[in-house]
Formats: sequence, structure tokens, C-alpha cells
Amino acid sequence: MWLDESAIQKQDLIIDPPYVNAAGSLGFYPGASAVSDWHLLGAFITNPVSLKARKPAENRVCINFADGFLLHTGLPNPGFSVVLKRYAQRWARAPLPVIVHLIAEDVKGLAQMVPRLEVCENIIAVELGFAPDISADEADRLIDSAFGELPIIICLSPYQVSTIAPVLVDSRVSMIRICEARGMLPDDNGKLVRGRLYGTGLFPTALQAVHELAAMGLSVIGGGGVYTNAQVKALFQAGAAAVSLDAVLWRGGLKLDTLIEESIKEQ
Amino acid sequence: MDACNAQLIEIWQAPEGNGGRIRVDHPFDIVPGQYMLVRRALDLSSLPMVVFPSSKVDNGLITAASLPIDWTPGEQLNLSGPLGHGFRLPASVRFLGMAVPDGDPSRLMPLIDAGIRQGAAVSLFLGKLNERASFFPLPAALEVQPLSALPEALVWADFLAVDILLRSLSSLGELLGLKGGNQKLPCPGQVLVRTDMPCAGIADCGVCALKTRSGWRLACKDGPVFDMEELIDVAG
Repeated sequence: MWLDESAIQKQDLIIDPPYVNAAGSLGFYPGASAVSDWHLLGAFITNPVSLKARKPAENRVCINFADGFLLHTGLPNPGFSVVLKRYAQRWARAPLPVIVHLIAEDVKGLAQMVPRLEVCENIIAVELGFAPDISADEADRLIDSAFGELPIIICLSPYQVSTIAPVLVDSRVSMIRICEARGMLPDDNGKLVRGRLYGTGLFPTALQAVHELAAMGLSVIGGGGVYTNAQVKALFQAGAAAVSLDAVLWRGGLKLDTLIEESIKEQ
Repeated sequence: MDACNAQLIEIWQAPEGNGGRIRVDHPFDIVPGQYMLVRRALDLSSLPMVVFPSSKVDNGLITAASLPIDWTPGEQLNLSGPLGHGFRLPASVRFLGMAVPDGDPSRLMPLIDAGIRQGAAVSLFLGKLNERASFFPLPAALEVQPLSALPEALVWADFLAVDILLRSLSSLGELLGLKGGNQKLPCPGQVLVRTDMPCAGIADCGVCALKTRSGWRLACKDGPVFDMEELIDVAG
């Protein structure tokens, strides 16, 4: 007997403990430099990976503002094949499960990359990141091309939630992660630069996005501007299934347990 | 990464920002050219500041010009590092040249001291000579010259250390008096590349990426000090 399409269910993805690093916050594999208490994270999310190598942006820059900073890098990476060659063994030996973040540029690229990740050890999901101005239809096509054996996490900035989230409600997507919002600031020469935003000022919009997605029945990894235990608790209260940490991990000497252990106990 | 508590003891104004003396309750070793991260202990979200100590003092360090203007004496800090790769000054060096085309010489001060300690004749070539050299207490044994004199000095120098902004790297060949590509360096040397390093090597974020003869490298973890021959005519 053939199953009709409606019988295909979401692939369950459980992140336990319910904490991850955000893509781009800790590199391509869980090295020893930033975090020593890996057992407090439920999974490691890699830096964004594209099918072909991406060079650093010509006007790469970090611009500080009152409550945070803007980062424009061009998401440099050596390309999918090189990343796989360089890190697949490290992922296999990692002290925690790995989620590979793919830059979703086109259908063909995703269709090439995802099957090759399915045969790697210790990878529990694929995360897709979209261009900031992507339409719901295009996002839908890209998501469709990425379905395979691995659960899929979709990265949405708070500003993409109202556009993209409705197409995810009845999809097979396992989770949605709220990622950094985008913004624009002038650089030292007065030239306007677009980039990803980090800092505590981002938290209120991230929290609202989590609340909206959870109300739609979607499983959400909340993040964006998380720096305190109180913010972690608020995300869980808003319905987050897990929490992602970004630039807080760049504070020298951060002990993860000061940020999240109390929240774990209360779960 | 080693991290420890520290305290800002003293501040002063320098041409390119506030300098200060930081008390550190933890012994540390740092190679000239390596950097440290410092942040206010209670500051939640600001990125740590990158500091290059200009000298080590009893129970701490002096940083010349990288502290935020709203930091005040008594401030409780968190310090971590040292990070990155510093200068490797060959013990055989007897004539050491140093060049700072676009900043103050504070980051090279530990190397100047190391050169003088090993008996080398040390010359410092500065852009904007008067305003920068007059502020810093430079050792009497150090010869200070204008940057325009650098190409001539390279005839006698047996090692050259340069401190330069990433965005000025493309002018490095011209600075050394090399005309056109593939010219041989007059002497071996190393370059401290100054740029933003927001993730300090934790994330490979790419803001501090620079092109070298060996491909793209990150100043935060492959540098910030690079061999000069890796950068001439390719970096930017």
C-alpha cells in the first residue's frame, strides 16, 4: 500500500540540553578555544557553508553601535567540498551532535549538498539560511529541495517571520531558529554597510518572533541578543524549545554554566 | 583561553585614544605583537577591546591607546589572552628597523625593548613624526627618523618590523621602496596587521581576513603578525 503525501510527518529533532550556538559564532567545528563545557550545549551549529567557496566581502567590517554591533563579512567559507574534507572527521569525533548550516542559494546546490551530509557521522540536522529579501515561494522551493533523511531547521530573522513562517506551518520542517536581524550603518568613510546585528538591543524583537512562531505551533530555537540568564528564561517562557547563543560566546572567559545552568534546572 | 580579573588603575589621553595602566592579579607572559582582550567585568554585551600591551609593569600592563573614553580608574575588568602570533626576533639581529606609517609606536615598544636588550641598534621610522614621537617616552638608545628615510635604512637593517593598518597593506611595497612586483625584500621582516578582530579567533568570522601568498588568512589567529614576504604585493 502506498502512503499518501499527507502521511509524511515532520522529522523529530530533540536538542538536549536545549542550547546551541548560533551559526557563525563558534567556527566550523567544536574546537577547544572558546567553550570547554560542551556538555551544556545540545548541539553544535557550524559556520555557514556554501556550495562554492566565498571570499571575504571587499568592505568587511565590524561597526559598533549603542547596544551592539553590526558585522559584515560576506560569510566567507572554503566551499562545501573543502569543508567536508576538512571537518567531517572532526564532526564525527565531536563531543556533541553537529548541525551543518547551509547557505540556501539555489535548488541545485542544496540538492547536491544535503545527500552528502546524510552519510556523515554525528550530524543530526541541516540548517538552512536564506537571503534577507527572499520571498515565501522561493523559500518554499529551497526547503523542498533540501528534504532527505536529515531533519531541517530553518533560520529566520525576526523580520522574515511574517513572510516566511506561514509556509512552514504545515511543512516537514522540524524547527525554526531565530537568527540575527539585518541592519545598516555608515562605516568610517560614511559608506552605508548592510550586515548582521548583534547585541542586547536585538532581544525584544527576537523574543516577540519566538512568541509568534510558538503560537503558530512551530518548534522554535530562540536567539538574538541573549546575554543573561533572565533572557534565556524569557525565551522559554515565550515558547522556545531551545535557545541559541551568539556573540555572548565571544566574551573572553565566558563560563556557560553562569548563563544557562539555572535554566536547565528549571526545565 | 586564560581569563582573569583586572582593574584599571590609571588613564591618560594619547593622540589616538585613551591609554592606561591595568593591574592584573595573575602572572602572564606575552610575546611582542600578541594581543589581549579586555572588557568591563559587568558589561553584558559590548565586544571586548583588543589591547596590545606597550609594556609589562609590576602586577600588570600598560596599554597605550585602545581604551574607551568612558572607562575610568578603578574600573573592574576582565582580561583574557594572550592571543595570536607575535614577532619572532632572531637572536642574531644587530640592526633592527621598525616602521609605523599610520599610527603610534606603542604596539612595537616591547619589540624595541627586546631589540635593545639583545644589543641591536634600533631605528624607528614614523609617519607624522613630530606628533607621535613626542608623546611616548622612547628609550634613549632608540633612533627615531621620518618614514621617508626608511628605504635607505633597509640597506643596513637585518630585520624590519612594521605596524600597519589592514587597509594600508597594499602600500607596503611602496613603503619599502620596492617598485613593481616580485622584487626581493631588502631584509627579512614581519608585519603586525591592525584591524578589527571581533571574534578574536573563536568563530572565523572573517572580518580580519587578509590575502597572503598562502591564501586567505585571519589576523586574529594566523596573525596579527605575519612574515613580510607573505604580504608584499598580495595583501589587502
